[in-house]
Amino acid sequence: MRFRGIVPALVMLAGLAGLAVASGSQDTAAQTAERPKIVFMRSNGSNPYAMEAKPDDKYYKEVSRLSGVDFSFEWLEHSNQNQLLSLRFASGDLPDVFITGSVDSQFHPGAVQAGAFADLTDLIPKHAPNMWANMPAAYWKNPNVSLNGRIYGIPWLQPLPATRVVYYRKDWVDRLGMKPPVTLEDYLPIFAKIKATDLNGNGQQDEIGFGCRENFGYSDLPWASFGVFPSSWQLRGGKVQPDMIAPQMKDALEFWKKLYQNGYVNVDLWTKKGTDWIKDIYSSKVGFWTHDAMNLVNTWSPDKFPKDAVLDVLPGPRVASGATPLIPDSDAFGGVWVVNAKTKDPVAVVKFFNWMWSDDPEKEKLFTFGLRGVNYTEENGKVVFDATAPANVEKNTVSFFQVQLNPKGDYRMNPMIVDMYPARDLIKKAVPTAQQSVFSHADKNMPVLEAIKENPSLTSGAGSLFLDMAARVITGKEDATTAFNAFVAEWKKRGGDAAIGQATAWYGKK
Amino acid sequence: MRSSPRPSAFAVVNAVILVAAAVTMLAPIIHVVAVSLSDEYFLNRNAVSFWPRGLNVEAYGYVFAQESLWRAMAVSVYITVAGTLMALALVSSVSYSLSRAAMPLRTALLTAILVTFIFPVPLIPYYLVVRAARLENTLWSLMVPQAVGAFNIFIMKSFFQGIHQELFDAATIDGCTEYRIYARIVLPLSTAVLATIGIFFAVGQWNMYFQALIFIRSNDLRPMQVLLRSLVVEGEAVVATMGETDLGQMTPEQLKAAIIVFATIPIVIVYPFLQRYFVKGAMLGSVKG
Amino acid sequence: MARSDLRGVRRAARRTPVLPGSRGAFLTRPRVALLLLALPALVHIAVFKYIPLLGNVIAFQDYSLFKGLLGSPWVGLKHFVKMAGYAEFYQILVNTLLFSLYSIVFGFPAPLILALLLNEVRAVAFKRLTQTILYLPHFLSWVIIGGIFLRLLDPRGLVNAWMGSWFGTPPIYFIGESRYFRGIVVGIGIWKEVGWGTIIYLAAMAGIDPTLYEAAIVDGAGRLRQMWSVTLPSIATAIVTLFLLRIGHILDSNVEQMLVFLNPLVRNVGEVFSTYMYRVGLMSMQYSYTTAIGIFRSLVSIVLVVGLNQLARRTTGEGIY
Repeated sequence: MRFRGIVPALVMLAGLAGLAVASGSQDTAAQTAERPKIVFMRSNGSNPYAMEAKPDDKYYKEVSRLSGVDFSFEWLEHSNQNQLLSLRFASGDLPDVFITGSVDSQFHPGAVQAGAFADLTDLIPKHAPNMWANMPAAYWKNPNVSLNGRIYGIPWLQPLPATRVVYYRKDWVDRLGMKPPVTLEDYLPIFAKIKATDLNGNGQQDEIGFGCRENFGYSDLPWASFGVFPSSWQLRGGKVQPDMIAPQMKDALEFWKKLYQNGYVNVDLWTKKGTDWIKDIYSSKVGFWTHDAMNLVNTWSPDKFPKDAVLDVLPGPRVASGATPLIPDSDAFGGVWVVNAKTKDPVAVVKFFNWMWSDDPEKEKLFTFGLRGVNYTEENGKVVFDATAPANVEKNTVSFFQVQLNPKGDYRMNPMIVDMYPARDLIKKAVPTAQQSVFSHADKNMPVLEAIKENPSLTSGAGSLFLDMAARVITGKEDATTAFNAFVAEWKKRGGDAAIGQATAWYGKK
Repeated sequence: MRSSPRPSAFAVVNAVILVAAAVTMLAPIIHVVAVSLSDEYFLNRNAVSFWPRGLNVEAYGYVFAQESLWRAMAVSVYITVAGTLMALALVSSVSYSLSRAAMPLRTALLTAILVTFIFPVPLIPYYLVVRAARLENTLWSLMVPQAVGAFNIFIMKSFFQGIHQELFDAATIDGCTEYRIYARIVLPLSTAVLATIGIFFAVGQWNMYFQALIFIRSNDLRPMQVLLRSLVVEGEAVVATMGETDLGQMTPEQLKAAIIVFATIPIVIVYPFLQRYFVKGAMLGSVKG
Repeated sequence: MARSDLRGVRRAARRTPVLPGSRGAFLTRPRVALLLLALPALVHIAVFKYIPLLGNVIAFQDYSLFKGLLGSPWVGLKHFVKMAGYAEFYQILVNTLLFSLYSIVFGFPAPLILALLLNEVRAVAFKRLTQTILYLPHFLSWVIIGGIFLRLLDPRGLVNAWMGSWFGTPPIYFIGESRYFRGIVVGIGIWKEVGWGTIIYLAAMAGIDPTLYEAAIVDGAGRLRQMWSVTLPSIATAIVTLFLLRIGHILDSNVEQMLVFLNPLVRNVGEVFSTYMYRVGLMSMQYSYTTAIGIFRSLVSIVLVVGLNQLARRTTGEGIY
């Protein structure tokens, strides 16, 4: 009769938990009387602080105090954000402001036509003059922001116009007596030596030349040297066609195959999660990898590596023209805020964004350095900020207020703070390097094509025809020419021809 | 009885096979425990198998210091225990009624319940119903929507039908109401089936992921499995937060192992106590629906 | 029936309780009591099962998030036609069936055999301990099991380290090899569920009349012989029932289990209905389409279970309903 004692105890536990939940929600309801209440929503970006933030978080309170609105955030679980957003649309229960990839995203098709978003065309010039004047004018015309000449979105800015660079272990290259690689061919002998030398000294042959992740995520090194990139489209033969079906793509895949067969990339790149990839890099198992320059402030900060590690950055491999392409260029925004059409006071939202774009020094400090007395101190009116202090490192708090919490954009590269990071010198080198490492392409700002919405396996992402073919070619399971030709035919047949037609038509109108 | 006192060759072979099976079950789990307790030096050399080398408990220090993990654990324990009690109350009462010949519309109701067992429930309508019931973003949403399962009703009903009918007849003649028969006669005779169904259900509650993902918005209300997935599978940023220096002597893989062990401990603690109920479980002798 | 009659019956019922199952007025007191006891669960089923079940109609619509169930246009069987015309439909069907076949051929007898062995153990303490250990994996979620096995099977993991030192084989990227993939996923599935699966059989075995064994011993039957001639026939009903239920789920695969191991190298063998539905649902929110696939799966199950039930009844005299 062990059950007897358990039941009352559980009922009590239930009551207590219920009380705790109820009292929490009452707290927030009490203060809404006068100030307009604005709830934001976006992915938590797997940021540990965002994953644990409570409804009355101290950073929300500070934003509320400075802005005069009752500000709070709701976080969507990062890896399922699109599905969660879609469910929220189905229920019609959305917060006041939330982020999406595009006002015409395939995750909420027909949202604009259904009147789900507030039309901001007239509100922004009138109520947000700061933002209207300072946002690059072209951004408002971007198809991710406006549709049929009406503005429905507010861009969320990237910290840099271009972000991707090649990272490498300079100490390794030096110890091997090699020079930093310039062209793609230069990488091969270095990879070979890395593989053959026990550079991390653990007695195992576990050093990898180029560290890669699943679905080719942040695995950018070789593509652009062949004039292609899995996700980009170019004008070829009068039509806008995806690079993945271009003949040069086959050459790129043959090169990947060489990397794979020689053990210059990790054999488990097909299943490598970001977590494990970072772990390998930290524990000195990877020589080269490609990632974003702004992550020097957190992920690739020198204090995260063993003491003898020396990092450096490179542009993309140099090609015949002298350019150093790595990834396709893009407008420097990483998402679009849309305002719920049902929100009580859209003007208050627009005014809030105007405040975000003002030069209020307190606001700038909050989103750059955090809370005074918590994340930084002031001496004689000057900010003293230690990026390695526990309050800043734990739970990745700095990224939380600079990036996730920040409705304007990513503040990691704010000039006010760059000199206070441990990686300051490398950051100053990485910013122009990233700028050199982009190439232009025909599908810049292209909306998601109808044919692709209909058949997602036409993309280059997880579960796509392209990725499956690339995997078979690179691992040598199928002959490159046969597999590639079969893929191109299949891709076109499954709706690719229609996609090319739609892309070309869109390009012609532009 | 039928067995002879000295161990036969059969018994020895049998025991050897069972021990081998048990070792197969335990080995992977022990490996993870060993990893969570080993020193970075040996981990980097891939030298840890089933025994921790260079004992190192830092990962546990870190895990135990995480308020969010404890909170998620509390949520999981709560929805498992309270949810299971609720489900048992709902399922046992309807199963009792359906086990009685006097129940009106009995066949029709049983068929109607069978239908729910066969057809899938699509995501969007399910989500909208839970929302309309105002359960979204409460712990109720993790306990109520799936509380009544057709499979469980059928098992429990057939168990109740196996109880000697003379007991009921006698009770009825003594003036017992149906409520009393249910509460005072049937339930006490049914601890085995209640425990078994309870454990079936509780395992589902403990391992609940998707439902929590879509119904829970507040960070505070997330159960263990959701957090576990963020940390173990998607936890890029978590690892990125803790570089070589912050981690000290622990590696991220060790941390993952420690989180896995942490999430498994409650099961290991509770489960010997429950075992006696379901090992008995003679009730499933007739799984006939 | 006239009101006065009804009152009379009620009064009579109060005096002499109506025996369960006895015929009489519709709403006798015990019946009302039984209905009230069933009511909470029945309301629950109506709300959380039946209302969402009606949502299956979106399989015949082009469901739009904004138009909702009532406003979305009807398109008839469009999504079923699309499914049947999908280039890899056949491949996915074959993959799904093969996975089920593997897990039935190897996974279905496994708990039965284990239960037979456990049933023969006489030392209570040993039996308890073994059972405890055998059940343990069932309690771990797929996230955890994925974490454990991806580690073990990694090219730098323990399995490869052993094979390297014992046989000198080069590291194998197990989960990237199509030819190992089914074996690995099915094997881990068996690892997780085999112990738990013994419970039902053990319970059935506990109900076997001991005199049957005594009679067998008198006839000179050894332990193996007893197993074959007494234990197995006695639990035939349970075996048939479980087998039919398993067959009914032939097109279902545990999506979490599959997703933990699925990757582009093995998609040709590893893509099954559940992963395809997950992917299409996740990547492009094609709710109507995935609902259509779900209905297709259910229809196949119904046909299979009903058909096999008939067959089972005809051959063994046992069915599940």
